[in-house]
Amino acid sequence: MFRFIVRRMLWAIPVLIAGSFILFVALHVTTDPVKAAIHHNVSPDALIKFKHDLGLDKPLLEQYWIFLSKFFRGDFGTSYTSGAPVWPELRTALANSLVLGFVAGLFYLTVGIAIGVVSAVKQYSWFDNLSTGLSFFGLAMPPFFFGLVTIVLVGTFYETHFHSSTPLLPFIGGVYSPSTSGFDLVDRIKHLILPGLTLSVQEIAVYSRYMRTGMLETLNSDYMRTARAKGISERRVTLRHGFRNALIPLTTFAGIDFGAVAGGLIITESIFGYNGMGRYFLDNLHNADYPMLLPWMMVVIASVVLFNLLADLSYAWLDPRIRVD
Amino acid sequence: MTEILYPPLPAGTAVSSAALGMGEKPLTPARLAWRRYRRHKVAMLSTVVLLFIAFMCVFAPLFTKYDPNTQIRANGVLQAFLHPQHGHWFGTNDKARDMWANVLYGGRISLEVGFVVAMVTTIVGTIVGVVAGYYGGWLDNLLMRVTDLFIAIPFLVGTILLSRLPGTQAWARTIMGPPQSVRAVIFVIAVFFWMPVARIIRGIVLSLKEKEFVEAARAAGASNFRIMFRHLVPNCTGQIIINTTLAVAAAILTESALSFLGFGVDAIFTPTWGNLLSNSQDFLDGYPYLVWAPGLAIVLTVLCVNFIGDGLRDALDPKQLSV
Amino acid sequence: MKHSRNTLVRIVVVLAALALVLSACGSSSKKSNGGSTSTGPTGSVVFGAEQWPSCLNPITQCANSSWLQWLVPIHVLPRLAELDEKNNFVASPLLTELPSIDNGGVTGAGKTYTVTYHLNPAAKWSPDGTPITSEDVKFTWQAVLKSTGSVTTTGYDKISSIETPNPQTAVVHFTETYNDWPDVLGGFSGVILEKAKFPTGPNLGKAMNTAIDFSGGPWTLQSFTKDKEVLVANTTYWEKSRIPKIQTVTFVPVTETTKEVQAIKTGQVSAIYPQPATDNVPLLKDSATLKSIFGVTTQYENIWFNNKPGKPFADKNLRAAFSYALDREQLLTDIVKPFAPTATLNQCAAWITGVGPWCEGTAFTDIKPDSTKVDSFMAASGYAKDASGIWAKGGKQLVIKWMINTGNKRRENTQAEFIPLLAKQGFKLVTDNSDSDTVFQKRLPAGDFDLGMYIQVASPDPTVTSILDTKSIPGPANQGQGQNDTWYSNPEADKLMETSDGEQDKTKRADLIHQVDKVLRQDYVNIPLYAFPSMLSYRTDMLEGPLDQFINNPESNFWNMWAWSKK
Repeated sequence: MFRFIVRRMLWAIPVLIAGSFILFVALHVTTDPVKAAIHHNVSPDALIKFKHDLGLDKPLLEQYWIFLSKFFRGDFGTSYTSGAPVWPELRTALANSLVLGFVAGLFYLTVGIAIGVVSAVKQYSWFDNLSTGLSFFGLAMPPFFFGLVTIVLVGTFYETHFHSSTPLLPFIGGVYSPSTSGFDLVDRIKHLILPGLTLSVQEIAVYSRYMRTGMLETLNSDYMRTARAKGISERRVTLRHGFRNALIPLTTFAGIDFGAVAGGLIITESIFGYNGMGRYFLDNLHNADYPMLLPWMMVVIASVVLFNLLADLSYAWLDPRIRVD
Repeated sequence: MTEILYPPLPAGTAVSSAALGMGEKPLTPARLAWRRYRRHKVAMLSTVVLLFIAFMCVFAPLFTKYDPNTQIRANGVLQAFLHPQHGHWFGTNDKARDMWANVLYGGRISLEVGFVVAMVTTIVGTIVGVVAGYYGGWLDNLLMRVTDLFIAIPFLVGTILLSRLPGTQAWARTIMGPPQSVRAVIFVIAVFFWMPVARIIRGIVLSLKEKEFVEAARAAGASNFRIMFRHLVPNCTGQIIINTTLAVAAAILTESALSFLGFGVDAIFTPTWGNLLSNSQDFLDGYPYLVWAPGLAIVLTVLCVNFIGDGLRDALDPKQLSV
Repeated sequence: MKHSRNTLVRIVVVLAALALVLSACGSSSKKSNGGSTSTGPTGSVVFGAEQWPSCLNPITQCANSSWLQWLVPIHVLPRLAELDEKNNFVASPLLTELPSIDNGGVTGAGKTYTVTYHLNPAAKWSPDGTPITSEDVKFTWQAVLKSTGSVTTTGYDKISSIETPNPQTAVVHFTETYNDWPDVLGGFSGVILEKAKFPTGPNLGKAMNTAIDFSGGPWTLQSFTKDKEVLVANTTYWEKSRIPKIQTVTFVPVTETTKEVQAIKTGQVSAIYPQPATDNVPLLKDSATLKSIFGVTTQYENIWFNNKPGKPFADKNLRAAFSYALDREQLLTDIVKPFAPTATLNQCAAWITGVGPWCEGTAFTDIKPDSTKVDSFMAASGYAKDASGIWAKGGKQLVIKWMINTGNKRRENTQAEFIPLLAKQGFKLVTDNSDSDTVFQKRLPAGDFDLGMYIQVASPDPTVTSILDTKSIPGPANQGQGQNDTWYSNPEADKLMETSDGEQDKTKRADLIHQVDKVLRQDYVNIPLYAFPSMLSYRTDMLEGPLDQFINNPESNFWNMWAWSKK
């Protein structure tokens, strides 16, 4: 077990190096930090000095090596644009994305699992049919489209049809309302609702389908029939055996999903101006700010590897028949 | 939409009940599958609807007299933002083009993107999966680590950067076509779409390659190539078809997401549902009909494709229940 | 197995509690705006910003966006010369008068070229109340040159020294005659920094990321984050007429069009300054609570030919023929007027009619559709129409790649309308578009286009040397950093531009500029279209004051925020 974990952790290192190198090359090929810095009317001399200041006149491989050696010594470097250290900003973005990811995750897992369980227990009931229909509808909805629709719905649509002078929910200000200063839990939660819903619309569909399938599979299995035959109440059978066993494969999916949260919220965050990893990526890509982007990539890949590992471990832990190694 | 009916019997039973009919006529697996598929009423309905949508798009000129790129003028003045009316069912957009014609012709490209991406990724994924699973050892290790790497790179990050290549590198333009062309977009999506198929096929091949029929083929002197593609791949058909279907839906959605981020198909003379939707989304408040037309087209198509995938799963892979 | 049920119960309880907290606190989050009746600044307002800078430093790369200037420096930091409504340089409140040859402020020529500034003795830094002195001026000049990553060194590198004979006098010695001196430490993007706040010396490469804790303007910066910027009225500002009437102004990023429109329509922000376009103007029509006003910026949009050798438009006859094929008037009517009804055609290659004396407004008036001229120019270069009616030479069709940045509806609609129209005249154009970063960072500098459509900024100083002279063509001599992306080159124009850059007399200079424009016109250097429109939308139920004072300088309509008040 321990060996397995260590081996998987070690495997992350070549992936990190390969991933960041690919990104480094891709950035060099498709962007130019010097041209990104031009405001207007800048003399060539100023640009040459700027290029030198950033170390961009060094050979490509040397630039990458400087980054890599610093990174593995724990130095994340400083931004081309602001000269500020990368880590504090990256940390804030990561924390915000994780908050959004986990809050939305809690929501869509709870709702998805609940719908899945009820659909399976009451197979072919009106509830099952309705939730199945809705989940397929959710799967078919482009997320950016859904996000924009929610903004208009809580905005002008709500104000016109409900004769209100304020929108139902705030959608500007990113993490907090403009008037809020300092920590404000309620305001924070309000700002999580719309992006959370946008993230959830497809996920609820996916998880309720997985859960329904898993429950049906276990409910129809032989050992469940045995349990029923023993005279255990249906309620107990469902919750004790069906629910737990159906949850096992779900952990794997959830693990992989959460791993993607670190880098995968680009659309939702850019719609809602939410200061997370997705917006961090787009903003810094626009500035061609390599020192900001490469550690970002490292964090994203590490998170994918880590959560995959956690998923595998929890799978093994929940289902004693499976052994890692 | 309102009547979602799943096979009345759990899938496992469905097989045996179908097997009961064996006395009448020998049933091939394909016939069996078709029987099961037919029972999935929603999938059948979706097939009809999808075929109808595809028909309308392919034979678009039968359904509209407008060219999608013609600007509507009255007395020389551009007629932008016309409300839905006789002759312009979905009004005209900010480019003064007929929205209905755009949705029809746009469907051609969107469906093309969906199907080509699905085909290409299925082929690539299958080859990678079979080779990795069959040969095992270092080759398997290498291929799976490459797969891992592609999975670890966030999807949109990969697609955004790759989308920029043909605009900045001449060699990339040769391979992918002009920046933001249909070819480039298909290429970009396909590059990040093959990994799930590869993993699934590898898993199946790993379990199949120890089976007797593979041993038999090998003993009969069949080449590795023949074993892989004449014996192993046909045994994965069910999974391959299901995944191809779902990839069609996912590719159509991805195309629209790329358009939203500004990396989709260039909208100026090549309408797609994705770029029509992302171009119109700004008008959601003032001119909602410009949004509903492409939006509904995407939702309806993806819905149908997913239901078809669901039906196919029931039909081809009875062990696994629909997801 | 009890375990899982308990977990479920716990989750439900937590969710219920969250919901309860949410509903209970709905009322408590309302903030009152303290309607005090005293004469000082009152109330707070929220404005929306279309772009958000990643940091604040006004001398490093952070300053590469206009939005940074509009959000912070123009409100917070002092400068020497400033721009008036007509884009002319005038003395800012920091100066007693603007130096000129007449008042002896500008003397010498060449190596003895000197500009002497007299600072206003009343000028003080907030909050510490110390005077703004010539030492601050000198320090800022050093900082611009010595800061790692500064990109605004143009002009500053022409200064040999700054003398500070007394706290109120700064004598700036240049290495050569430099007519654009007002843009140095002044103008739109020049600022003065407080020396005392930077005890570690003039390398400010890592300073001022998210905070500028001193002010010499109408506002002080209270905070700046990724999510908002808070400006507070500077009640100790020495220029009493510019002390704000509003206590707090908060800017928030609203980078997505749908969201921006929704934000102002629902009153979450009370003013926005968007780029007018077909996707916002029709949605921001005037109503009981909303008003939009239009003006023009100092940016001009042109159709640019790529003169790079080997590209089709290196051929002057082709440029001429194309200029006479494109109907500029129709472009203006169909593309721009729907969202900017007052827009007019610009008639100068690189200056704007009405901004300064530089554009005579006549050079390009004869660029009108004329099929006879198209035919004769094409014939002169050996082109003839082939069977399909497309211009061809040597059996090969002429195919022109037209590059714009995708997502810009104005340019997209131009291509959508004019590619078919030009095809009727035999010009086969194809779209060859990329996202804006690729266009401006890679393809434009690499010359990877035939025809472009983009904006240039007309600076108050009329020099166009950096974008049109031969020396500025990207090449080994300037390490590929020249900004003449269209490869225009004409020795006659080079010479005139050089002479005009060194000419101190404004009338003579204007005359030289007019001559440059005529040469550019003779060369069909580009097709001028229009000065780019601007727009301010605001809530009439939330704001009042001189909001509709549109200005012809780059400072945006937030320039006179100090005169606005909250309703």
